[in-house]
Amino acid sequence: MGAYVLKRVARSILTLIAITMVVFVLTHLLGNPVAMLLPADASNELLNYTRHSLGLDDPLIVQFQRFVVDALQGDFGPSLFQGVSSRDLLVRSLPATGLLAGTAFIFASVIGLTLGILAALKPRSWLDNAVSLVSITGVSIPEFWLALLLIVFVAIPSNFLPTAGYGTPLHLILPAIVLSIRPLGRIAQIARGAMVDELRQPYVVTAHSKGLPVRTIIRRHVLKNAGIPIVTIAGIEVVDLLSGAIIVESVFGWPGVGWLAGNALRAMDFPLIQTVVVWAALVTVTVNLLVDLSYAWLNPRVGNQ
Amino acid sequence: MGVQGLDVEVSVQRPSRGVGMRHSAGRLLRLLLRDKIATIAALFLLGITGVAIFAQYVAPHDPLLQAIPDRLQPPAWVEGGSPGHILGSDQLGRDTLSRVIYASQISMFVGWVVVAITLIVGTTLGILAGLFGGWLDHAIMGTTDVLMAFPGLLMIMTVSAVMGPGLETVIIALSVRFWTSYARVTRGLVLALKEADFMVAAQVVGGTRRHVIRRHLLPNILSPLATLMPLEVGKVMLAEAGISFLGLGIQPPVSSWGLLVSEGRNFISSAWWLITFPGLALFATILSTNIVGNWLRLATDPIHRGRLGE
Repeated sequence: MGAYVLKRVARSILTLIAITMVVFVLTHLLGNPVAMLLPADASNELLNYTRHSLGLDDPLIVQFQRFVVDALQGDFGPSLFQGVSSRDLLVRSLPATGLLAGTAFIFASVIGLTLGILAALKPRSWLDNAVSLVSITGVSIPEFWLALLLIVFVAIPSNFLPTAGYGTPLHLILPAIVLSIRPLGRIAQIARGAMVDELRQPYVVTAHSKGLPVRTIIRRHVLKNAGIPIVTIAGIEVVDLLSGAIIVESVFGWPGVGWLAGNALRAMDFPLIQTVVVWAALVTVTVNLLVDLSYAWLNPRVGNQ
Repeated sequence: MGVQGLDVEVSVQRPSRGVGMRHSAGRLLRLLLRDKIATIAALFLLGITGVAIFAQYVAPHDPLLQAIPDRLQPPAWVEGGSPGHILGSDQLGRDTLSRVIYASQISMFVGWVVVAITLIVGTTLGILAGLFGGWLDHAIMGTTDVLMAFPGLLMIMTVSAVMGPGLETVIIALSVRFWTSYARVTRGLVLALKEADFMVAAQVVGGTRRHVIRRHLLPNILSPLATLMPLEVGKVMLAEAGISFLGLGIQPPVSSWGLLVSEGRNFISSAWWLITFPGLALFATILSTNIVGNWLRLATDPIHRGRLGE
């Protein structure tokens, strides 16, 4: 088990190093960030001056050294437009995203798991069909569209739900609902599938025949065994919440990391872009690591392989 | 079992193409017609594809034709609407229905082209990784690990922003993201098939590597990969709409459904139809690809076939 953990951690670190390489290639070798940053009719002097002031005319190896030092500090320099350290900007927007994504995740997990388990207990019932409908709608609906519909048809007529902004619990309601809808659908789908598969296993029949109540069978045996696919999907959802947050925060003007990322990308504020991307990768790799380690806990065979 | 026996095994197990494919297409169609919801979804997809292809004959107006006196008209059935603009008009008097119809071309085109690219690239790399193993496997799978360690939308947006948004960039950025799922699925299939009796037999009787791949491996992995396509198209269309909505995807004057919603956003308090209808078209299309995709996966999976009533 210890060796497994060590190996898995080492792989995460390697992945993270590879990711920062990809970010370097993306931002320094692909395309021409300076041309994207300046208006189309910018003079050559201005282009050269900007390139120089950003250090993009240095030899590639020098740029790479600087990039590595920046990456280790998790900060690629001050934002081009706000003049503040990119890492500080990021850290400042973390609480907002944490609140939004955390609320959405809890909501999606609780409702999604409940719906999935209930549907699995009565396959092909009306409840099962309704859960299928909810989950396929959840994974198909574009978040930005749902968000705008809620603003137009709920928030504006309601007169008390805010259409955008941050600060009170009321502001949290609509963004959290929109952000949770896709993970909710997928968690329900996966939970249902995992439970249906598990309920067919011979040990469930055995438990039934020796007279254990259904409730006990599910709580003691089935849930833990059905846990692996559910934990996987929950891990994926945490990462996907970051993607969703870019859109949802942009629509609702929610001052989190997604909003920051969207603005940085549109403005080609690339110290900020690099900072956000590297931090997002760090979070993703950490979540994936935790998911894999929780497998080993749920299924001891994994750790011994 | 002698060599003679093996030979018979091989010819029996060899997946037949041509006739076999047609037969299974007919069987699939019969199965489909038994599932009402999947049939409706498939018909909708067929219809929307037809509308996209024949946009210039179907659309009532030129999608770029401005008519300032007609601006911001609500849909025809709402008070103040006119039958000339069934789904209303935008801030420049352009016809919403016509714009939604023309936008379907870009949305559908991006979806299918990206899935075609990722199918080819992902399958090729997946086969290489699965067949040859070793460092090649590590390199290819390591790359998918790295690409999947970014939040998807963030990576697509970054590629798009760095390369300069536009149709080609959108296709490249989405392809970079989505080939990984095909590569992983293909590798898994290849690893499972590599040890199958008929593959081993084909090698034992002296089939060359090229022959074994073309006649025995490919036919067996193509159908599971093809059944993944509708689900992938849905995911790609959703991602395209997302980045276009955020201004980092398709750029005007061409339009996609996501971009139309984005443009309508400035008028949400006065013109609800500008965001509602393009989004509805997008949602209905993605919903249909997911319904058809889920159905297709069940219909072609031997374990689940019984559930669909065959």
